[in-house]
Amino acid sequence: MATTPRSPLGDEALDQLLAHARLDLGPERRTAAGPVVTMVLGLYDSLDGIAVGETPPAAAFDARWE
Amino acid sequence: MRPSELGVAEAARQIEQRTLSPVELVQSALDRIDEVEDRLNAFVVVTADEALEAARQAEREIADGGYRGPLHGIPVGIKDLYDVAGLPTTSSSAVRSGYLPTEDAACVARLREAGAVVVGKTHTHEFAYGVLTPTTRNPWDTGRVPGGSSGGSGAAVAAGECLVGMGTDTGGSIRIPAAVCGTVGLKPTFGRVSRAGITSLCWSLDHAGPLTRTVRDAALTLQALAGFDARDPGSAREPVPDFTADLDAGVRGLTLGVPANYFFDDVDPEVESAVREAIGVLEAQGATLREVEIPYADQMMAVEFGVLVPEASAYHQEMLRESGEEYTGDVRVLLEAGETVLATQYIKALRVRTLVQQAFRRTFEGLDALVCPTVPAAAAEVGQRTFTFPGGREKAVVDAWIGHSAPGNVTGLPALSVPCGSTSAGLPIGLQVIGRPFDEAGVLRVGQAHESATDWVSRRPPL
Repeated sequence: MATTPRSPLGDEALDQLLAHARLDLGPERRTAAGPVVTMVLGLYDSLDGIAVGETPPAAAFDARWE
Repeated sequence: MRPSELGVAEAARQIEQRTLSPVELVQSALDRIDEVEDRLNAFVVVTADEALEAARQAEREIADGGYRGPLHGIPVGIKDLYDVAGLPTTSSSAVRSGYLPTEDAACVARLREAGAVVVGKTHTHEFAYGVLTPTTRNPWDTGRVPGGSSGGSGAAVAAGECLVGMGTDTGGSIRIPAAVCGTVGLKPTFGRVSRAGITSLCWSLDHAGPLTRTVRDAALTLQALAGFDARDPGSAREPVPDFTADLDAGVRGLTLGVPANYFFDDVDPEVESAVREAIGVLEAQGATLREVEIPYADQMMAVEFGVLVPEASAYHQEMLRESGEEYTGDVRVLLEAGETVLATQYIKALRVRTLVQQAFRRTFEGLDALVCPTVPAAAAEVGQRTFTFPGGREKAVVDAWIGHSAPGNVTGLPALSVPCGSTSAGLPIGLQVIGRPFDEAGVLRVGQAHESATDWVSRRPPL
């Protein structure tokens, strides 16, 4: 998966995110998840610079142009 | 040539003329499966007895004057994300062991109505969440991966184990295996083909479609698959044209966009050379080429994964908590990470997706299709994690492959991969044709123009 620069999450930040997600991971899983969470959040960071104005989400997606 | 090496169109012609029996054709495919499966492992399960019985039924129907059309008696492999009544849907995962559907997925039902014969279910990367299909090997070099996630269908069609392989495509999972296995792969427009009865990876990016030997075969298969289905919330009420009507109309008078950025930025020189030569073939046939800038190129992967990751985690949330230890490591960790995404982050990705779609609409003004590499590098070796491109830039295999196919998913536009060359190691190279919404006929027409002027689809793997 594409990576963008982002400082690795600290233990406390990762714990907060996992708790918020109600995801109870053991130490081994937590260690594995940390870098991937950082990578995923980095992807969203790369969208921060895009001004979306009033653009609605393509949630009810329809590929038609007309 | 053994019957299973034929394309759908030619096999259908012979079946209709009664010079080829569906039983003979299906038996030929089953013989080929027996011959190569120990090296390929493209199939999760082979349904030989049921397939032969269905072939005998087809033979009786045709003898009685009940020929249904070009898929009647044609052996197909079904990606193991699709429900097939009475067969487990494993999604190539231990998590789904014991799941036995009682109904066919909509696509399977439509294929059966058209007379197709299911010979088995093909491997996928676990839950389609990856591009390697580790269980299966590439028939051009069994030390290499077949791409994915529809790697089983790609390998099976390329090796002559079936004439059609059904795939799904969320970030390129039909086109990637098509390109690296040397087959044709068609991702229709979002909404064109029902996903009902197919295990979801990402509701708003998933597409269903075929992998075949030729462009005409893809058109014939799409004809059977296309159409509205109320069971799929994403299904479109769009008229279904005759996809073969203008197949041989050529490209004279068409304007094709050639990307000036992104698609040729990090590309293996052999791939770039073959694809540019293929574009030259189209120009020589009368197509007008125009260089175009691909909008939002740098954000394409972020949008693709920004939508995919949380949707996949939402789908798997209960199963992950109940059976987390049964997932493979790479899929499990992505699903766990996806649970930490905020709704606002997901919505931002969806909003940028709208911008990308609007920008592609503007880019397509005056264009009939875009032509570009399907993937920037041919089949990776088993265990290979990265490609190195000119200038020494390294990219993960997954990033490199999805980077070229994701625009088709983010925009929902129809996209076709056709064989267009070979590396010095003998590995297939794919040309991608991306079209306007619901203009599958247009992308097939461009693919057919290239196919008819070259002989790449006639090559067979040395297996």
